[in-house]
Amino acid sequence: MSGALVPLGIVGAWAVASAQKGVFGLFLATPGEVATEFVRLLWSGELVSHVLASLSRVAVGLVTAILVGVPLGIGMGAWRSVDVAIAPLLNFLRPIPIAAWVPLVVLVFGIGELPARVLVFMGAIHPIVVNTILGVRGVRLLHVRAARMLGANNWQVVRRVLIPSALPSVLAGIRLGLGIAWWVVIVAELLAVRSGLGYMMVQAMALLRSDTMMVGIFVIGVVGLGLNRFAILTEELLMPWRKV
Amino acid sequence: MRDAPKLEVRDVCMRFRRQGADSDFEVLNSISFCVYEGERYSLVGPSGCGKTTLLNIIAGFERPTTGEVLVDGAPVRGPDPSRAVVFQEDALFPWLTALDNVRFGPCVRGRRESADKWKELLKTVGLEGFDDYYPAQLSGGMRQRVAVARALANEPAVLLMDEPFGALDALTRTQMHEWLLELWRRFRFTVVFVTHDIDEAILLSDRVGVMAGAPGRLIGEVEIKLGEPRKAEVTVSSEFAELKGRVLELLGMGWRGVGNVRSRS
Repeated sequence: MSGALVPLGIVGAWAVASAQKGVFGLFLATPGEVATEFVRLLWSGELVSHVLASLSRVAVGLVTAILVGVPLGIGMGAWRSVDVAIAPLLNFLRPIPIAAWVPLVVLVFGIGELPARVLVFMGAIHPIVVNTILGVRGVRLLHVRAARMLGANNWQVVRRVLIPSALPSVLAGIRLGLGIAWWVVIVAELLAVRSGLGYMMVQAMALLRSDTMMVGIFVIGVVGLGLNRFAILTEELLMPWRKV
Repeated sequence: MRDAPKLEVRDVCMRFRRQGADSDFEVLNSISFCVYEGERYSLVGPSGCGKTTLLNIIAGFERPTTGEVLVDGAPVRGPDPSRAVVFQEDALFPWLTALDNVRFGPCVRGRRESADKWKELLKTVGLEGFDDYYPAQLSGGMRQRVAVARALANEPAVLLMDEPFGALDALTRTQMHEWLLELWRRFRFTVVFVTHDIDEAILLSDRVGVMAGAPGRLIGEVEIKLGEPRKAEVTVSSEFAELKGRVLELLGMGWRGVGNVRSRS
């Protein structure tokens, strides 16, 4: 209950500010206008198609990041030579904001699906690699020995001990990657592609439609929450022993 | 004349190369002993005397510098199901239920047996109805029972136990002693039990090997002849006190040892 107080206060302040004459009143839509715009966008199907466009890019970029990042992390976690070869590059790339890559990626790949997916991939791969490395290095010698003395061969040790031991850390990395992917896709859509929630918002800026922009911000937040919830439920499903 | 030994440790030495020193660090010095079918053998000694290293060598996790370990006459080359280990720490797989932990060994070895057999084994160790519990849902004592069941599921030639009750509270530990004695009466497994608790070693064994440290070596053996069925009450008997006195004396902590300390101060 008390968790609703602060948001309600903000909406109240917003209602007061947007009712003023002057700059605020001119450019800031009232809560009523935003609600009306939300209904219009929802009813016309525009909103749904933008959300789906953004989500599909997140899906493709994230799945690619998992397919590349998890094996890379396993390699770097298990073998020192792989780690030494790749870690410096990743450490250099990690602090560069994905936004800084947008102009170059658009220049190279043009405008369309591909640059957006590439940017999502670039953002999501870092936490996946880092957490996979941690997961692989966190495997306990005791568990490997236990499996060996019970008769497990190399492959069985990998499948039945290494993978389940590393899983919690890997999945946490994927969940972080998903959050970053959602963040990156909106930024990518501001410039790199002509659909999706980000595109909807730049368009609204050109038309001075603050109501549309605020619908966009609200929807981005709600979908982001939903994605995180989805990730947590998937983790609970994949790791029933963690829930107890 | 006795049968051939089930387990034979033959002149096992373990040395580690020391960085920047001209001599190696000697962990184990020429250890030899035999354990026979159905016998309970304990290794007792102070912390750091190499008991756990010795057990790891018997298990095949570590290779001795010289010497060898034979199980049923065949030399040990690495860990395999002929020697099952119950570890000091909690070594159950946390991602598997109690039942799946118990049948892990038979599963990886391609034995397809019905779940009922393993439920029966869990029942035998006193965990009926806990099949679907994850280790995190079980108490420390229950987890070690699952660990023993997991070890027994492979029907090993020798069971190796490395201070399996060390992390439990005193009361639970006494319960586990009674439980292990009862389990042994049922299965009559051959077991090597490592501990630094002299009472535990005497109570649970037919023979106690006494070790000293730096370098780790076997300094004597004490035959434990206490009546069967053995119960925890025997620890307060006079025979028990006498056996304990002999172990203490070997460890240099007998009344003579104490006297020496006094005379020095």
